Amino acid sequence: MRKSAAFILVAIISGIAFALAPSLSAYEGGVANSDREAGCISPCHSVQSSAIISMQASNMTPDLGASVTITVTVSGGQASNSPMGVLLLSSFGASNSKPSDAGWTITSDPSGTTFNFNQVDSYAGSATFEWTLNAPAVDGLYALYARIAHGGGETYVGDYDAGLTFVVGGAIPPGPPTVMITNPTEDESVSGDLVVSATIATATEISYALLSIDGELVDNKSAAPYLWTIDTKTLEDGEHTVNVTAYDTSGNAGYKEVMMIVDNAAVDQEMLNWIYTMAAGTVAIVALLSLAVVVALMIRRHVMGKQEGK
Amino acid sequence: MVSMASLHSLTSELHAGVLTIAFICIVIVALSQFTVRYKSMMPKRLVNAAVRVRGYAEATSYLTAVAGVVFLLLSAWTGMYAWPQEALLDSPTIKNKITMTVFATVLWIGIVFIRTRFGRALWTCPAMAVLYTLLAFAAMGVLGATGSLGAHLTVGESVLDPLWDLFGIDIGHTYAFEATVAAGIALASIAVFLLSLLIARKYDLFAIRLAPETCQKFIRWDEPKIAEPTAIQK
Repeated sequence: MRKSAAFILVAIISGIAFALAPSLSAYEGGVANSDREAGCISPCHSVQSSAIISMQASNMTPDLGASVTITVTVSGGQASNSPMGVLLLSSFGASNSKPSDAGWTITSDPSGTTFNFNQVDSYAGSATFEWTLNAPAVDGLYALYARIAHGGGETYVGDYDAGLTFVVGGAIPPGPPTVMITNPTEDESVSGDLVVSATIATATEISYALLSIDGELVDNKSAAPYLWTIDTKTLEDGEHTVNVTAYDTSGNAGYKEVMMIVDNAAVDQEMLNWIYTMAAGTVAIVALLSLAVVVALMIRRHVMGKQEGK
Repeated sequence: MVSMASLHSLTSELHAGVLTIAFICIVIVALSQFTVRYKSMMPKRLVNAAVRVRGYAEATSYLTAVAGVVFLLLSAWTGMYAWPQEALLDSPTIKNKITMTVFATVLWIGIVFIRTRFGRALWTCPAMAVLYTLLAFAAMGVLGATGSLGAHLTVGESVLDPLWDLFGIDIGHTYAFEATVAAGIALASIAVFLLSLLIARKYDLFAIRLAPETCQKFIRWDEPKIAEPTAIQK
């Protein structure tokens, strides 16, 4: 009887634990195919992947709204038999980074839907992802990038940050270089570390590109990718002008400016509020628990007093 | 070398599994106590089984709750190092998960505290037994919410999603009070805590030792212990 009861107990506990386990599981099975921004891919992937990423397009100068096929090929890397995901992006900004934000329309993705993030569940050393998109409906320069995220012991990430630059609606005009700042976008609120990215197109060859903020030179680059990481905490909160100027080998200059709004105070306050909430919640739980124990003991005292009085 | 991400996965699975067992055992003891309390209306075999089962389940619940709290703290520690700190604090879902983990830890520590302070005789006092069981439900609920957020971070979805939708909770938004509201809650809570201490002192509640000879003789709620064969109801 004793053994039977113990067996029944173990069976009940095991059965219920087995049933509840999936909802509490921290199983790392990758992220479902979905529309995603370039920000932190859950869980935040931080270790540089050794995978080699390449991007190709069926047409770099599509007409307005014309169909373009983008192929992203991934090879190597640490994701042996674990999920490998690829994100197709129009910029690396934390927001407005999906192709649709730049005017592209995804008409098909590798899984037959229209998401910008797709993954293979079990990566075996190489994989190819193919998207078909309709080009934007407005003339101009447009860039597309790829980011990979995968497991395999760590949370790996890798970018094809050179990107592909498309001239939509016409050929590159002769004259000065054309500059497009892909991050930050106009009037975007930014905080912390910020990656400024620019795409430059020219009929000749780029000699160098300068990044200036509020007219002050920050850095220069002589080759793509034109990416700069700046710490916005060195700037005062408020509006700032980001300027990227490119010079070609003929001495022609082209530039682009965007206004960004640095708002580190709001982020700091939000962080403080979160910490205060955790602290207040903890104190509240302890207080309510103390009160509940006291109430329980008072009830017991009251009941026993009545019983003893009889 | 084992990475912190792997250790975090391990400790997460351990605390979730062990605390689930603790919760189930507490529920089993509560149901067994109820069965024994109303044994005149219950089948004899069920009462016998309840007497046996509750002794094992009670001991198991205590041990697993203690182990679960240790694994929960280890899980929080490994989680802080599994990802870069700036990335941790960028994600609203991770911030919500940290909040829920803190609350779950406090609630489970509360369970361990009550069981340690009053012993298994807490089950002889109906008010304390009800409080203990409700606390276990609250702790398990918060732990389940934490697990659901973890599932969102790893697989992008959770079986508890319908609940989030039902209550209109957007887990991609950081839930936090304004600093002044948080300060008000903290001050009010401290006042409640001090009031509780004052009441406990006034009525000498600190000295109370729950034991079978106190509540049991009036309410007939037995202390759940591993039964000897002779003690089983014939």
